[in-house]
Amino acid sequence: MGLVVRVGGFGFTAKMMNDQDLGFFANLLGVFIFILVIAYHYVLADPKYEGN
Amino acid sequence: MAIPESPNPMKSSLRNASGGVLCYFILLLIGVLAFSIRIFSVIKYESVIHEFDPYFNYRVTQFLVKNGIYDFWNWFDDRTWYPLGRVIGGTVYPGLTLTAGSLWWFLNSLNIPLSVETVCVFTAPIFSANAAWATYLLTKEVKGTGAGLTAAVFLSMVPSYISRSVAGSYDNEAVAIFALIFTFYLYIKTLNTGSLFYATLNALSYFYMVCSWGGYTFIINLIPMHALLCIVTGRYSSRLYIAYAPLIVLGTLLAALVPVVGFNAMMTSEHFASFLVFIIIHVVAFVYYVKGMLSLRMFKVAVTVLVTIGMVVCVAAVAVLIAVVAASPTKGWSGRSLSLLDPTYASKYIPIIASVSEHQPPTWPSYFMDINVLAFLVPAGIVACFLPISDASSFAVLYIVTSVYFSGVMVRLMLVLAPAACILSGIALSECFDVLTRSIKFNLYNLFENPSPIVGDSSSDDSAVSEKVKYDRHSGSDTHEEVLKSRTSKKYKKKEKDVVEKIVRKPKNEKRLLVLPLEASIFTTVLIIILGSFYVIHCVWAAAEAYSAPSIVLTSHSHDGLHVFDDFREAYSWLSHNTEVNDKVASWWDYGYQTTAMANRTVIVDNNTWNNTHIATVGTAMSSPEKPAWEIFQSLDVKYVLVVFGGLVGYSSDDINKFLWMVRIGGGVFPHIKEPDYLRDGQYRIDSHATPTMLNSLMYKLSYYRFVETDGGKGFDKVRRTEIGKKNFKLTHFKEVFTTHHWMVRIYMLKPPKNRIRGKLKKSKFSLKKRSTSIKDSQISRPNPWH
Repeated sequence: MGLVVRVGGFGFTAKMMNDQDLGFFANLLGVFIFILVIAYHYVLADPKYEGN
Repeated sequence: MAIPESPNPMKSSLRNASGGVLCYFILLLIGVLAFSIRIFSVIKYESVIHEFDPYFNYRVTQFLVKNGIYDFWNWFDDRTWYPLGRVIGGTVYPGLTLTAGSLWWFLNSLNIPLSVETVCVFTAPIFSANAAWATYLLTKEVKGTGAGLTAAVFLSMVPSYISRSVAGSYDNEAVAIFALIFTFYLYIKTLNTGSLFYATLNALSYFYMVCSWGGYTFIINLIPMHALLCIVTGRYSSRLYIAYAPLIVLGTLLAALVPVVGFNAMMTSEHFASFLVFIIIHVVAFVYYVKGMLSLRMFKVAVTVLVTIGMVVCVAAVAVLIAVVAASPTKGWSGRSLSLLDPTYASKYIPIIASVSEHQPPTWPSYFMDINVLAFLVPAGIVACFLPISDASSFAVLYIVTSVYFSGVMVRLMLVLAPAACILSGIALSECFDVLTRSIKFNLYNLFENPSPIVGDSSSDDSAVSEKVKYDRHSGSDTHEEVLKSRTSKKYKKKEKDVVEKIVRKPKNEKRLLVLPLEASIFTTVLIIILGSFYVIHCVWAAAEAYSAPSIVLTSHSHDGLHVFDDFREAYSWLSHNTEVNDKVASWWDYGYQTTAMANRTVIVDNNTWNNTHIATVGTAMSSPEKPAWEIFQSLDVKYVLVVFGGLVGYSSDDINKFLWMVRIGGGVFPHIKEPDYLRDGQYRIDSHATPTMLNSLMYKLSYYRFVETDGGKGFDKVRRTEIGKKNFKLTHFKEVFTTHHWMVRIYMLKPPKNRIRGKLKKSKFSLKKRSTSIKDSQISRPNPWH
């Protein structure tokens, strides 16, 4: 289900996002953020090791 | 194991800079995610206010925007609780209304002409992004930036919070959860820094919370509990005093400014814990001060004298307090708070509170539905908080423990559990990520930059190295705390410096980090990403399918496509166009707010449920036969009666399913209404075995009038799954004026009283005598105030 909208007078048509598109976007963004958080931990990881 | 090179300051600052940029980018994406996951309702349905309570808030916001703040404070609403009315300014928590009103005013001043409805619909998603950022700040204070980011991601899409903050859910929790988390953040920030600036901000944030939601009592009890815990565990410090005392003084004064709270901020038992701990913290502070000045022997003498005097004073004060509080039937606690302390209280004494579905205890599956994998990560987070324990981490543990208890009492309070679960889960996962990413980095460093084998500790082959002391950001923050202590306390500077030096030396002496093999680290990381993906998928599904329905519009999918049930708005629109402005509409209290907001008609009772007797009157009318019900409504100037009926389409939340609550609430005030009269052998029935009292009740008649015409005479109720008992009957005192397309809402008009009685004078005199004797008899056994 999506609504086709004509934008401007140049024949350009934009399709409005439907719930499936939004669901896909939200899933993708969520997993991407999760991976970015792990990447943040990797960037800031500082494996200092000091023995006695 | 390889001995690393001395730390390169350039690399370190580059790492921190990259981390900072990445952190802000992640926070921006979290805000986008928190907003976008909540607009499924707008995409699937339309930009509309949901449920019931949000309609009242929307109507109040419209009034505020139209008439200004002074008229809003002084507003007496005569279109509800007829003929009593309601003082809106003094009974509403104004935070949400003022926030949305300010947002509307600000946008309009920038020439962005959004309607009030649009601003109200999108207030909750905007503040959910703010709540996610507040969770980041709070968790960062507890365990560091990594934990903060993880917790913020979890909160941005936790289903429990989504359920009360979708676009259209314009209710107090939309802004209150943000205020709650932000208040906790400022408290912890003050606790960590000892800064009066943050203490003042904390009080202001608490004031905003008091303006927004009655759940502020959770804050004013949790923070004193935490302060007491710190004192009892020997963690009292000047920072604790600065975090606690200004909050209680300033916060209470500001809370008393909110009209709906007023002197309750000082007089109700819900606030006494804060005052008690306020006294205790001053006593402790005094004891520490005196201890520093006296010798040990003198101190012991002083303590003995003080304790003796203190005990006498305390006993006297407590006795006075008990006497004052015992005078109140509820011991100074409100009904809702009592039902939290004693979960069975509401079901025994307050049927109105017990009848609300969101006040019921949750089921076990609802925990998995609402917080999903966080339920399994929370215990790990609790353990992580103890390694090592700090003031902030002890607060997080206390928060999760208390919120788990309250969520078990009332399903609505799962909302308070959600931030705590996200914080603890974020801490747990962040610790996990620390180990895994450090292992990966360490192994990659060995693999690429230092490939030659190193002769070292034999335990290098043993990947699970036992850790002696974990050197992480937290011990760094302990050191940071000590450094701050030295800044604030000039008098004891030398002593503090010695302490700082000792603590700084300790990590250098023994430190060994947990490092896992490369393959195990990568594999575990992938598994955790998969776990996170399951969480994301579940949250998006919950937002899209479970929590996006606006309730005002219903949908169902069948073999012939999508069906939309817009009966509620159809009914309110009919009322708005076909009745007079001053006509009164009676219905069960569930629909009061919607009727007032959408139909713009005066109602008898609404969702505020502040007057139990008035609600019981309506319940009695619905439970009575036609004539007594007519008389009751006539006395209230009611012209129309509205009932919700789901028997035709299978809508189960209709008035017939709520009817027993009407009987119970009505019977609680008017004893002639007895619940057993409506039950057959303890069962609630509407078929041919139903009791005569049930079959003759107004609710039954108004719901099933002409129902047999819909299915050729059978009268099969799809909700109760049985044929109705009384099929062909006429209404004597009510006239059907409107029934919606799917028969979900039915509106009846009261027939006007008869002008004169024809030819029945002798008969009525005779029956009057007979009635008067029978009335006397009935008054002895079952007094009926309506005869």
